[in-house]
Amino acid sequence: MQTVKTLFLAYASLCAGSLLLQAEVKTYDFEDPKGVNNVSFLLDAPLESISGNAKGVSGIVTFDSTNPKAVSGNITIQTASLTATNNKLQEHMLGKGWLDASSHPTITFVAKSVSKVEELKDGFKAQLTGDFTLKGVTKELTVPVTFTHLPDMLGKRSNGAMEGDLLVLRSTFTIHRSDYGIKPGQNSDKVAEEVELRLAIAGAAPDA
Amino acid sequence: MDLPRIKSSPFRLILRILALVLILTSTVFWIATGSHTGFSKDRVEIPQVDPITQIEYVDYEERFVLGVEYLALAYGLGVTSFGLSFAYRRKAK
Repeated sequence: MQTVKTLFLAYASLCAGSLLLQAEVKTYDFEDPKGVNNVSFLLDAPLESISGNAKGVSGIVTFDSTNPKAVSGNITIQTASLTATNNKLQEHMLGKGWLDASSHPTITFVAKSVSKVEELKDGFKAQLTGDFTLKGVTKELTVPVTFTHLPDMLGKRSNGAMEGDLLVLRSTFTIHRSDYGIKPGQNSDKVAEEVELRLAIAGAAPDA
Repeated sequence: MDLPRIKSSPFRLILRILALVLILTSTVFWIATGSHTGFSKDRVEIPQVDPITQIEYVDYEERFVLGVEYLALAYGLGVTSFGLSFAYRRKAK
């Protein structure tokens, strides 16, 4: 009888442990009605410095705070949401000659693997490898990413409308426009070859 | 002995006033819109920070800011106008 009781207790604690682990895996939605999520871009050419911002960010990321290596998901930016401070510049940037937003309406990053994970006070720092697609060209990129897990902060952000967790992703990395067929070798005096991208986005995982 | 009176050509005066107006107006407008040393802007970035996530983002205010290209153009036209004024010589009466 004692053995049966011990076995039952062991099974029950295994189930409980498994449920606890399961509870850490959450899916975060990065659709942001508040307009906070953004990707900024900076091109610093000898004759002109171009900077701007994109707020049309969406995506889904599955994150396990106990096992950050298991992260997966994708982030999408609406090309037409790229905004510069000058109307003419923005028109050229989104036009056929440059980003061709009408034919390539999205810029995407699909996560494939995570490496070099370092634990931080409230999250993790890691190298995230994935497929980055810009103007229809897909290249594999490895970028530094910081995951900040904010448990039970969704309620505060939504003024109590929803309860749940928030996940903040931050990343700064550089791409070369010529790698994506954006006027390779042309206009380099005014439009820099290197494009610095800064991503700062928050996703929400409402409690079920 | 009467000295000959020198009369300025009206074009000479008009071109010099135009030069002065161009340079002064563009300088005042440039200072008034923020003395921006880059190219002109049609909207201005207002930096914000989300209090919960600490994410930094920008909101835009639709406002024209004069850039150095217009300032340079106005100065160029002003200097040209002033230079052209010398083509209209003073006439001695």
